[in-house]
Amino acid sequence: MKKLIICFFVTLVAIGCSPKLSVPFERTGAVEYVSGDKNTVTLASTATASGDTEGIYYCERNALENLLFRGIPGSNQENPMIENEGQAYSNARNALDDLILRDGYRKFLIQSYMDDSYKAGKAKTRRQIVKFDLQALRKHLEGAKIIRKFGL
Amino acid sequence: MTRFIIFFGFILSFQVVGQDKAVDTKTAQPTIMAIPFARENQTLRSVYENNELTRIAITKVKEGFDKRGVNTIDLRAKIKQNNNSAALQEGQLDETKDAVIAASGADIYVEVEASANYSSTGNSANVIMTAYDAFSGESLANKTANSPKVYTDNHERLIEKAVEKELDNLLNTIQEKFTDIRENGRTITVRVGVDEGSDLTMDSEIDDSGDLMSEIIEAYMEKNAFKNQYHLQGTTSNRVIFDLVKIPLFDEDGKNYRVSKFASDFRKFMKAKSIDVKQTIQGNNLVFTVKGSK
Repeated sequence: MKKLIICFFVTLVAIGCSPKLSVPFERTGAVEYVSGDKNTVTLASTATASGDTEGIYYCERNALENLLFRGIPGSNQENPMIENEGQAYSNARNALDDLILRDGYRKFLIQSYMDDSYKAGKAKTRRQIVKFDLQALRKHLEGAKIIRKFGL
Repeated sequence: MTRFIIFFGFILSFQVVGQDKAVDTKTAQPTIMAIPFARENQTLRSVYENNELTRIAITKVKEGFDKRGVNTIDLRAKIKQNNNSAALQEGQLDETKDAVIAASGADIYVEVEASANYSSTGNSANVIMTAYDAFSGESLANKTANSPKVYTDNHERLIEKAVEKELDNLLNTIQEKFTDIRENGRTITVRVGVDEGSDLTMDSEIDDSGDLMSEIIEAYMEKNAFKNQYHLQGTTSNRVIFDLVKIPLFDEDGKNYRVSKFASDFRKFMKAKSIDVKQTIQGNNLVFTVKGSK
């Protein structure tokens, strides 16, 4: 009995100490246009992560990065908001990191809710609907000199 | 204390390295005017006043530009301003659009054409938007926008839906062209011809180096074109045509670089080679006529 208890605790400790599954963020093209109007765009973004909080962030970040650097096919934002990603990072890395990595984008997020989710092995794949305020986002990018104002 | 100061300085240096480079390039804001697409024998005013759909589309396009902070020129105000004046040139139909654009002072004009489609499965609206550089006539962007099919007769809403779907894309495409112009320069064409009574041809040797006139002209373009970008379309004994010569947008002092400056510099270069040249500038097209040797 004593051996069994020790074995149980050892197993518990082993499980507790085992490294958590970590799914790194990967920008994918899994961002679909849902709707849009004069000042907003609504996107459905899919991403895989180990937990719910991480999953929401990965979906929102994937949508934002596609909007900023790739453009969304069939939408009112077919062209990327930032024409040259490499140049933008070399000119304004801090501002971009603030926006993307340090939750700065949340100021421009009007809506974000889960549309669907399913287990993918130990990770979880999530489809999130996100709506961005385009005009405010563009003004922010212009103000931070990440993009130029319209003109020559 | 010394250690503290060194440590503090070390931390500060990281802060400085982490800051973004200040990229503060000036932006020349172009003015844009939305105009109706006018078919042959139609004046801008008649199309604007008689076509309600196009009138709505123009208003929506202008609204969209204003929203992006673009300087717009109101066609209706321009037409009112020039009412019954020579600018509209009623009766000289071929020049009407050109005259209104020239009188407006717009850098870019966007031709807008709107139409409505009726069907048993719902009505929809189509809007065609084409942006042109008013100076050169070069097409900058074009978009066709369609509204979804809806059971409604509210065409204003349908047109608004169509315009708002493509307006940002139109502006972004124009902006991409601007970025390209900023980085690679404006395109002009240069034609150098020899006057009938001239004692020179393109095959004449100009100086002791033995270079032909066509060769020194090409060498000039190669040296003075922005980033050395030019394209020689062809050379004959009495003509040299460059269908693409890039010139910068701004000069070294950051002022606008005018086509006339390029023309003037070339004329002076030829004068230094004892060649008399007359110049004509039309938009982005430069035409030089070699009158003869001095």
